[in-house]
Amino acid sequence: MEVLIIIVIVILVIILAKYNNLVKARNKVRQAESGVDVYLNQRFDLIPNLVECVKGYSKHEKEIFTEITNLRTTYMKQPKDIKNAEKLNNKMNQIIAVAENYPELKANEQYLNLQKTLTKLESQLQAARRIYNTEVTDYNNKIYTVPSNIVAKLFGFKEAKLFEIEEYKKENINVNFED
Amino acid sequence: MKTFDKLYKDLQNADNSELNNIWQEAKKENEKVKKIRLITCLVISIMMIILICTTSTNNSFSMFFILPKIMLMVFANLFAYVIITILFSKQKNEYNKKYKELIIPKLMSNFYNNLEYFPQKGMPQYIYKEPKYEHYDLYDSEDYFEAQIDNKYSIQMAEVKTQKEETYEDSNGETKTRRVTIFHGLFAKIIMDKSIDSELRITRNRGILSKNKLKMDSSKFEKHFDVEASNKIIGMQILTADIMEKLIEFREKTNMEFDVYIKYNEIYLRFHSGAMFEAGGLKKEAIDEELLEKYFYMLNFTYNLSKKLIKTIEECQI
Repeated sequence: MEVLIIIVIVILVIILAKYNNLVKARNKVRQAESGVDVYLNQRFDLIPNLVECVKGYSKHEKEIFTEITNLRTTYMKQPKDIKNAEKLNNKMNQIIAVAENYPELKANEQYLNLQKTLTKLESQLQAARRIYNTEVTDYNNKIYTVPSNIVAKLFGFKEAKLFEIEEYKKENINVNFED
Repeated sequence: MKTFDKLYKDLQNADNSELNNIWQEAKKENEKVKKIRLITCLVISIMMIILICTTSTNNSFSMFFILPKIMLMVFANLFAYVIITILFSKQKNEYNKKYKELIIPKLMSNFYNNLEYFPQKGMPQYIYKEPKYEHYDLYDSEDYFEAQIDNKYSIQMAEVKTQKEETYEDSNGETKTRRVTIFHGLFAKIIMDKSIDSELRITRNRGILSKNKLKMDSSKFEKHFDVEASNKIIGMQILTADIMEKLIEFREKTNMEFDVYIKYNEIYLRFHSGAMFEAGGLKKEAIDEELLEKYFYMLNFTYNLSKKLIKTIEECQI
């Protein structure tokens, strides 16, 4: 009888330890995710300055400017929405691509400072993304490996998604330049 | 910057008559020393055997009486071996000295500019203490270099040896002290223009549980190294896939333990390489190709890693 009690206690202790580990891992994922959000928001905060800069040189991309302003407003209402963040990021890349075609703009001091800040933010965003993905991988491993997977199923721990938004890169953007 | 083959060819083609002469003398001396050692050890052994035979009676041919005498014989032989090696190594020391004077500066100049080399001088201890490595009791250093990377970044490098004194009890219950080597190898300090405003330490995988531990997104890298970063974002920005690959490659190729510490605008590199910049054994030629290639590979790695880290830190706009 005593042996049975000891076994039950040991099992309970193991379950408790595994549960705590899963909670810690999940919290690390959330912490890393908020880190990514911080840099994404900082990046998106540059959008009004970027639009103002480019608008002065390119009067033909009004649609893009309107679109990005609307997307930003939508994103600010729901910052956790990955899809919105992705659309906004892509639109931002379009404007940067537009700017690349105006040599006078590229020499503009305000634009140069913006570019510098963007480059810095992209580097930080990439680092934050790597940290997030490492924590997610660690957490997901715990959810699927034995015996933590039993505890995970018991207490409803769900798999976390890897961060897949690409940072700024030159894409094939179709932009019309009509003079 | 020359490749190793080009550098070695240039060294061989240069006028090394002085070095070659000393090497020949050292080789002759080495042969002479081997003969003296052999004869001395034989004489000691024969004398000890005669002593054992003459002092032992029929009753005392047991291990209890013979064993201490055998141990004394072994100790006497070892003692003679060491004394003879020390007394008859003048030419070898001269050869080593000439090698450091003629060959090492040419090797270093292949990577660094404005080189100043002081074979007898060591790295100042206060510089070695800056990265806060393990505690030690004894410090020794030699082969001190001061130079610049690309005529811009200052680098100081030297061979460093640190030891710890440990007390222990021998078989007779007496307390004795012995020296244990903590670190022996190449130590370098590089000063950058830019500061990372934080600290980053990369060491061999020890399974550390520090709150500053940074988990990396490469399982291969994690297998070899532990990373501690006071700012995790900056740590990740510096440890790009490219840099991680370089560190892994060096570790796997040389199987040598090393660590990297970046503090503000200073980079500290430490390689557990053992003795550096020595001429080596008296082999086929005065300039040992295999040994020189080992030094070349290490210096090449140090140079490329420093440059890569400096470039990454500057580009990240930290």
